[in-house]
Amino acid sequence: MAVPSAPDGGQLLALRHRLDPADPVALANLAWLSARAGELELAQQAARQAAALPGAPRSAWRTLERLALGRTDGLTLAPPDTAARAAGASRGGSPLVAAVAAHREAASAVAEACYQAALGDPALAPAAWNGLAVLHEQRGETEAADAAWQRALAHPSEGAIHNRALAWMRRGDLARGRSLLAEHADRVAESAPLLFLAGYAALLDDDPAMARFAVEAALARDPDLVRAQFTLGLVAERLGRHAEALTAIRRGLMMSPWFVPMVWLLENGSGGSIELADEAADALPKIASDDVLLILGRSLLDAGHLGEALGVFDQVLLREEQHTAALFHRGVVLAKLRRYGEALDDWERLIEAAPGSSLGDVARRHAASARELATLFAPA
Amino acid sequence: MHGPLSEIGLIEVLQLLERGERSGRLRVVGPDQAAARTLHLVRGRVVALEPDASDAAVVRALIRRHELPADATGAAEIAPDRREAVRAGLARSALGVMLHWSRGRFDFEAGPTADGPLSWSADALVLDLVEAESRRAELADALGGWGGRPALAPAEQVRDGARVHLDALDWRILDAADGRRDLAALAAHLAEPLETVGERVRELVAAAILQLHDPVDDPTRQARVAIDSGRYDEAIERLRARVVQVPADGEAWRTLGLAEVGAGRFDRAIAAWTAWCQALPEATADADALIRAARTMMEALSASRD
Repeated sequence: MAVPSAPDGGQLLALRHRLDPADPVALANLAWLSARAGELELAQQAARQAAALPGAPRSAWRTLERLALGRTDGLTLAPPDTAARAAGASRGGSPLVAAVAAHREAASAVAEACYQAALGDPALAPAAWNGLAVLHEQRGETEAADAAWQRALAHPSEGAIHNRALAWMRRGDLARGRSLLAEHADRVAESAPLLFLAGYAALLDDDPAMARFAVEAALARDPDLVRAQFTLGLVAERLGRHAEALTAIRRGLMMSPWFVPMVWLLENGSGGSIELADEAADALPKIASDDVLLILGRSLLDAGHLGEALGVFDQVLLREEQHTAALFHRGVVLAKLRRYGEALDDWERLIEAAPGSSLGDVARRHAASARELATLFAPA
Repeated sequence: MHGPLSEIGLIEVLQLLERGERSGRLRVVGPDQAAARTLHLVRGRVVALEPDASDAAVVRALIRRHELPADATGAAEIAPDRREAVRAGLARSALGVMLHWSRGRFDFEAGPTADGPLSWSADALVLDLVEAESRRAELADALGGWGGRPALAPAEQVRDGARVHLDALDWRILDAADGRRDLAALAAHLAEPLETVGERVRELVAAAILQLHDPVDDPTRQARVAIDSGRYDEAIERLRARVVQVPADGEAWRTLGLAEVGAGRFDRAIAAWTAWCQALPEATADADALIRAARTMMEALSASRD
């Protein structure tokens, strides 16, 4: 008699009838078996069902995540005994932990399923609403995001206030962002990320004095907050305090070469916030990292620190080869270093990239001089 | 303290060390000289076995059991009692093999030894192994031998049963029970003790989740059973019929040679192994060694008769 080599969908469905529908471990393991038998739909159903139950084992989330990525390798069984099951859950088997992990990995379908599962636990629900709101905002689903934030702000956490304000700012409504932060002034005063955001919003809103106050307060609470350090440099520059700007930006650059101005704050129930870079921060009024580096480079150039200035402009040009301002200023640095040939190269690239611009005109004049000087310094 | 295992078995060594409440390391080399094992003893009790029950071996076993992802480098996410249960299983299985070694040697070096994850006395170990052996024998009777081939039962049969609680091993059995592997092969595939897999399969069959298909009619396997029972002529009859039907069955020729040796007919054994070489040229080296041994034995017997 012929014998089937692997369980088929009918057998797996029949097996599901035999399992306790309230047992997340059994369902997670059924998902594992179904996935290995190639019954992916059934596997996904069982894993979702398991994940929606309290005490879901870590393997349920792992299966969901792998299946969402179209993978069936790396799946695991739930620990075989209840003690291990409880331990597994307490060490990160919660749907919120899985949701945040998936969110950070940009596995948004998995993250959404896990956030939805976490909504079933009253203790996790506010943080889950916050995460869901961020997810919707990232996808441009503003109505869904608004609804989720409304639920999240019913129990306003640092993350919910921060993310809601940031969302207003991304949508170009600085006033509502600042107003929300003002409504929660007590919470803002105790939180470095919220103080920073208030300062950043003030800077974007052309209020550098308030921005300086808030950003300095953020740094007083958390001196390692790199984005505050950079922003303090921008604020000082705006206030015409060039030496302070130089100091702040150089300090920031020493802490991290990259300026990530905006982050979302996700909460996984462990008490702290987990930062998720806001990939679409371009939606904010433009104060991007290249601008910060340009300011730093120019400050270094003005202060005569030519080697450092050259390094900073190199960084900008590494990321954007035709960045006109960086090309112009690197040319100036190179000319000051008497490397006229290389300066000429930069200016000629700039003229080619932006022929009609004012920088292009200046570069053309500089290039003419550099050409003469390059001839003088050329080997005989 | 050291010596060859051909003169004193490992179990006697362990019993001696237990009675003397000795602490130290016992290095044991079996038939494979490149695979030495080290037993750690504290006051005569086995507390660790390397490399079979080391932390790395436990991680590998948990990966093989699908309790850790394949790229796991540690077992921190597994509860400690589960880790230790797996370690104990690995150690028991390795010791079960080591206790049967009659070739190789042991070397004991006394000295202070740190406590380890195990705590086994030699006597308890022997009792444990004897118990496992008797469970195997009982189960073999109940299951009609180890040749049955488990597979998932038809859907309608599975659906109609009562609610079940399955643990990780049950799920692995359901995954691997493909109707082709017999029980012995299934246990080997899962790297679990034969008696444990046999018991689980019996329970799953009783729960109408698995069904056990008859063993494949394998004359060579049946012949081997006959050889093990000393019924050489029966084995030879089965195997001769087999090679007439399938002259290219190298395994049947090899087993036929063994059966002929058992019956004391070395010339026929040599003929069978020569046919084995022809059927399976890659087995020539193994066959030549057996043929040489049979010739030597034949000449020795002939000289003795003369």
